[in-house]
Amino acid sequence: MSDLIYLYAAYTVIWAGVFLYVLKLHLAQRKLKQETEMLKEIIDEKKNKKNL
Amino acid sequence: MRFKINIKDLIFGVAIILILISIYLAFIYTPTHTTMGDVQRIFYFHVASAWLSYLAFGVTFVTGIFYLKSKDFKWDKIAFASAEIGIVFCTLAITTGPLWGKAVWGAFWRWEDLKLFITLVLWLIFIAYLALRANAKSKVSKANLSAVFGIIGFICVPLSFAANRIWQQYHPTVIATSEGSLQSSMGMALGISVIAFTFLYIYLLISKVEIDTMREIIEEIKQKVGG
Repeated sequence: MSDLIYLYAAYTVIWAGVFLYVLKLHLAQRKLKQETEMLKEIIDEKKNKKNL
Repeated sequence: MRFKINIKDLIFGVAIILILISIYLAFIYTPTHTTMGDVQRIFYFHVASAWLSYLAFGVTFVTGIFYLKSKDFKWDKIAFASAEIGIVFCTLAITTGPLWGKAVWGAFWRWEDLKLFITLVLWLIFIAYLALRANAKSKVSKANLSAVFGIIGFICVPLSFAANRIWQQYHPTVIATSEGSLQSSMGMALGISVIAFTFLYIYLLISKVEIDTMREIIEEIKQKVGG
């Protein structure tokens, strides 16, 4: 078996690892933004009810 | 039309450009190693990953000290974010190293090599750091315990860095030795990949701290709205 397989495996591990971690952070940020929007709506609704 | 440039995105952009340049340098610009062949090209990003993990654990160490001095939770947040990033890149370093080892030594791991052993211990200490944080009961005890653990764990970083220079076993020493020094093109490729990963680290650290801050604020608002 050629040693090149180890080179490919190492680069796959590195870039898959970096990509997955960046993706994990990106998805967490997106989820938190959605939650923020939801909370804003709830707070606005509560404010409107109070004003009525 | 005005463009709003976000400093975090700018850092990420610089990291991506430098990573692309270092891939070009590692695969096309640098010559094939005379004794190891193409498998030596693993080392450009293996070393950069190891460097990033040392840097990240170093930041955890410094911010851990800052936290214990000031009791300001912002330092704990940075320490935790940096430790997590350090673990990710330490994992990449101790995964890619054995792949190179198998091709060059004929074995994935050599238990008698202290560099490998100390780096594995470093990785395990920071895995325990995460477990400790996950199981701590209060915010204060979580921050106190992890600051102490992060400071103690960092001791392995200089040991891991120096191990192959002191004991000279199997792990090669590629920097700062006269007989084992790199060709200039190889040194440049390594330098650029290290700088690229440093920019990547700054981007990841800012992102992780932002996420943890946002999570805390949302939890506080949820408690207020719910109550």
